[in-house]
This record gives sequence, C-alpha cells and structure tokens, in this order.
Amino acid sequence: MASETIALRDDGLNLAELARLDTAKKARTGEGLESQLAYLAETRADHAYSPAVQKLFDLVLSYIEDAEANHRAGRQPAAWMCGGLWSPLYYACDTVPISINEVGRLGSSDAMTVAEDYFQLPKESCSMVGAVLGEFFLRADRTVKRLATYNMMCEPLNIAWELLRAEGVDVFRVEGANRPNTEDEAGRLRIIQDFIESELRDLAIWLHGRPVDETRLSVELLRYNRILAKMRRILHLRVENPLYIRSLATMYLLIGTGTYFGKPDAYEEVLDGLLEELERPDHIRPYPENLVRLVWSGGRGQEFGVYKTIDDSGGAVTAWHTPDEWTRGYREDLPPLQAYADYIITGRTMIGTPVRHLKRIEETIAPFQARGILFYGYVGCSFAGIHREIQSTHFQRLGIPTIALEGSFQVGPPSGQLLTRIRAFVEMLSR
Amino acid sequence: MNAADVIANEKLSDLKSVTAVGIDIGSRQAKAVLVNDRAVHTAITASGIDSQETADRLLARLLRLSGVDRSDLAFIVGTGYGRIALDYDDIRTEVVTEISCHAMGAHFLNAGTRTIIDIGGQDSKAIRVDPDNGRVREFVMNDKCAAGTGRFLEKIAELLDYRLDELGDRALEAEAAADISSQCVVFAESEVISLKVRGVQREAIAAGIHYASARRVRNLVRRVGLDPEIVFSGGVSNNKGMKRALEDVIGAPISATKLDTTYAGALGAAVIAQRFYEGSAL
Repeated sequence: MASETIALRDDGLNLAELARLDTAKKARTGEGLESQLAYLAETRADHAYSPAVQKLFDLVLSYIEDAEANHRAGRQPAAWMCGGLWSPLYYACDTVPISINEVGRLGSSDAMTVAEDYFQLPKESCSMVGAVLGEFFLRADRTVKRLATYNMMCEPLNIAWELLRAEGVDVFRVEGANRPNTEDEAGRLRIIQDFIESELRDLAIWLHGRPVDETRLSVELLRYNRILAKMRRILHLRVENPLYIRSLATMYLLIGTGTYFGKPDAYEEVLDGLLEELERPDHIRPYPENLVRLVWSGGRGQEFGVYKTIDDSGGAVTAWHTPDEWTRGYREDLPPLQAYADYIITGRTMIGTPVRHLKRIEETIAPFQARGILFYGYVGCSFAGIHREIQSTHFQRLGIPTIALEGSFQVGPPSGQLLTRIRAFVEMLSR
Repeated sequence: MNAADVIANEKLSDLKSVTAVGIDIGSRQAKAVLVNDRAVHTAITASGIDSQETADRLLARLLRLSGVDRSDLAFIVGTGYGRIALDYDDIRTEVVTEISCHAMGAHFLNAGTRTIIDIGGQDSKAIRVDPDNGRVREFVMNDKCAAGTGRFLEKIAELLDYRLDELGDRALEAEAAADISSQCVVFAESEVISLKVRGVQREAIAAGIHYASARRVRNLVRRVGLDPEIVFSGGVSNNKGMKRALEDVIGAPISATKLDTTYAGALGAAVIAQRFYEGSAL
C-alpha cells in the first residue's frame, strides 16, 4: 500500500514533534493529519502558561507510539482496547491499554480511503468506524495485533472487529450484559454481575495468561477512583476559571481517565499539577463576562475545530457527558471483580437507552452553570441521531436550549456549516 | 439612500451616528451595507475565490457610493461563509454568523419580524427572532440536502434553458405546477429531464420545482415554529416564484420590506458592528 501514514513519514518526526512545529511551517504529511496536529499545536501554544497542560499533550502525542515501541522492544506488553472500561484490569495484568478510538482520532486522511476501498465499508457508514478500521489497518505491520472489545459498544464496531480478525488480529470479545431495568430484583442482578465477572476473568487470562491478582486489581480500582476525584475537582474549579484549560484540552484530560495515556503515574502528575495551578488565586484566566458555559453530550469526535470554535466564539464546555464517566468511581465495599461488574452494568454514559442518560446530563447543568447543551454525534450513526433527538426534545421542553450537531470522524477541519451552527448557538445564548 | 427610506420606523432611533459596515460573503454572492444614523448604502457582487479580495472590492464601492472616508469607518462585521477570511489592519473587525446577522437585519427592516426563512446559495435556514431586540431565539439549518437552495435552482434553470433571474417569473406563468415527487437534488434533476422529454411545459416544471423546494422549507419552519411576521431573506429571496410557493405552502404571507432582503445579513452585520464599536454585546 502506497498511502502515506505516520509510519511512512520520511522526515523522522513523530506526532509529538509535529505538534510542536511552528504552525506557520507546514509539516510534510497528508493535509488532514497536519490539520488535526495543527489544532493540537495551537491548543498547546494557547496553554503556554500551564506546565501541566504541556505535559498533558506530551502524554497525548506520545501515547500510542510509546506503547507500541515498548511492546515491540519487550519492555512492556500492550494490547489494544475499545472503550475505556478495561484499563484497571489491563494495568492489573501488567498490560498497557491502547485505546483504539485514539488511533482514529490521530489518524491520517488515508484511513477512510482504506475503509472504503479495502474493507468495502459503505460511504454512508459511521465515520468513526471507518476511521478506526482504516487507521488500524495502516499501522498493522508495526503495531500490537491484539484487541479486546466490549460487545455492548455498537454493531458497526463489532463488524469492524470481525474485519480486523479476518486480517489476523487476535480479537477478544467481552460479551455484553446490560442491565435492562433499574428495578431489577437482586437475584437477577447477581446473575448479570456473575456473568460479567466471568468475562473479566477470561479477559485477564487473555491479557497475560493467568488469573488477575485481585489485590492488584483493588489497587488499580482505587487508583482510578483517586484519579476521578481529582478530575472532578478540576472540572469544578474550571467553572470559575473556564478558559484556564480550554475545551479541547479538557476533552483530552477526560479521555485520559480511560487509559492514563499508557503512563498512569505521569497522568496523575498532570492532574496534580493542574490542581496546583488552578487552586492558585492568581491563576484566573480572563474570560468575557457573558461567557456561555455549555454541556457537551455525546461522542468526542476528532473535529478539533469544533472545540476551538466554541472557545473562540465566547463559549466554554464546562460539563461533559461523554464515554469518559467522571461522575462516579468503583464501589470500594465490594470484592474488586464484583465492583468492576457492578460499575459496568450500572453505567450511565455508554450503554442503555438514551432516556437513561437524561438524569446524568441534567445533573451537570446547574453545578457547571451551563446555559445550553451541545449534542454531538457522528455522520452515519443513525441510532445516535435518534438518541440526540430524544434527548434534545426532553431538554427543550425543560426550557434548556440545545443543538444537535453531526460531525465526522474524518481527518480535517469541520465543515463551515457545522461551525456556523456552533457559533450561532453560542451567539444566541450570549447575553 | 436615506436611512428613513429603508429602515423600519421603530428602529431608526436605534441606529448610531457612527459609520459601520457589514460584509456578507455568501457562497454565490457577496453583499455589503454601510450604515449610520443618516444613510444606508448597499453593494453586491459575485463571491470570488478570495474572500478578502471580494470584500475589498465591496468596501471600495461602498466608500465611493457614500462619500465616506475610509478613516471614518469605525467597525466592520464580516458574516457568511467567507467571514473567517476577513481581516483589515486599519479597521476593527469581528465575525458574527449569518444567522444572528439575518435576524438583526430583518428586525431593522421590519421590527415585528418573528420568523425568517433564509435561502442562500448552499443551504436554507429557519430562524425564530425575538421581536423585542432582533436576537435569535431558535434556528434550524438544512445543509444536508441542496434542494431549494440557490445552487439547486441555478442547476434547474440551466436544465430548462432559463436564466436564473427569470426562473421564478416563468414559474409564475405556469397554469399548474408539475408534480415533482423527489426531494433529492440528484433525483429531481432526473425528474426534470423526464418531464421535459414527456413534453411538460417548462413553466410548469419550474413551478413544480419551486413548490417541491418550498415544502422542504416548510418542514424547517415547522421545526422552529411558524410565527408571523415572516421575512424571506438570502440570495433566493428575490425569486418571486419561490416567494409565492412559500406563501402557498406555509399558508401565511411574507412581509414586504423597503430594502431588498438579500441585504438583510449585511445590514444586520452593520448594525451589530455599530454596537460592537460602542462596546455593546451582540
């Protein structure tokens, strides 16, 4: 395949170095890749005052390549992972999780071409699935060919994993068991928990060939809870200092709770650093009096221009309802595998009906002073489109302005129409 | 033009003495309006590839028409899809979306405006406006389908051997509108060709296309809630056939204004520019 990918660059620059380039200097990559990195470079430059944010982007940009390189060199095993649910188990099994969603987010413009031409994915398919599938394929000759997935994510993704399996990727499927009703009787709930626990035990064996050390898993669950507590503190401090960490950087900070970008200690140091910076009274970044605080609900996307447009037009995302569940951690009163299973089946962000998410979204509006909600999803995901309508209608009836945005997971800047919608929404809410 | 000749009486006192310009770079046409409390001047041209060059041309024309010295321009607001590219070293500039600008412009042309139908070169929008202040209350855009947009009508005019500016007039001459069932541009084009082959009158086909487009716009308007008074803005607003079709399909009249509503976005941008100059918010 002659397509240009990160691996085929001939100037010796990796992602982190590319993002540090002067934005005026054009990197010699595909136009799309350059565009995403330009947004990251600009965001990094915007945060020149924050050593912690600089470290965050070091982690973001070195994450996948370091994990792959360490695995290849035999220093630290790694495996791909879909969704952020398995990280504590991965780390407890001495395996670095590489989030497959990130490869699409930092992917090249060739990924969609591969998805359409090689995998024959219809053009109208979910753009996230195409980007992930294509980009993974492009780096298949140098990456870890092991992937654990959760069957509850979505059917198009499940198809993508089967296509990768056919390409020789060792795919482990964690079978899903959703909790269909909140009023389940205890016996039924216990059956579902037991099933998930058995799946997790199997995953541990797939990861490192033996059962998970439950003491070690407890430590990882505690680490996760500790990190989430810090994340919550940061998000609450951001309400009064909303531009200190801009929206795109905050999105990446939240994504980090799912993987720690392969470096748990370094990621936690970033959070500690940010807390220290945010708690200094002289560290308030100026912001307009009529700043429009918003809830972001849905996918995180890779259209980084969307986040920039929100900030530049007088808005800031202060509340988040994304797959990164920062509102609650694992129960510490249960054995670790049971706590893990409980956490999964009581989740409020990734699984279940859209109605189940409403309360979680609603809870964030007042504490984060949000004046409106952006519902974001991907082109080609018709189910999420219906979810957005249901949720949007619910909040509009409550008198809370909403806007449904449909973005793409393809590399490159967002469409002008999408940016117009965002700007107009912020303008509409500004007073 | 005297401001009093085009601006709604109730809004005249809201115009500031300072001279400001709004430049609306659309996908097909670029419009500009210079405004102060005494006069309103307009200019229009085809949108070029280089938005800045197009804006420079419009600005030069406005200065010539108005006799205003460039150094007396207090503020420029750019809007439309080319707004991002606008940059002037010597004049303060901001960008505002065309949605907010059309709302403000329509409000200054007709102070009672509550609903705007904006059909431009590449998309259509329905905007609900606060009649107290011209601010946007709600909006919805259709950019997924080109049916009914200026670009679509241009293509249909070409297929029917009409000039774009006569398409709407010819549609009004039809005895009955041809039934255009497809709501998709690609299929609608095929349907137009089939109708031509079957010998259906061009005028009837033109009318059918306008009604099919109007039905799509009606769905947008329903989404934000139809609330007279309605202003029709955007590049397609000069198309009389579309205006008639919209009125028929929506079942409510479109309000008349004293200034061509193609300029509504640029006028709104100019009004907002005056406010920005004085330090007011949008």
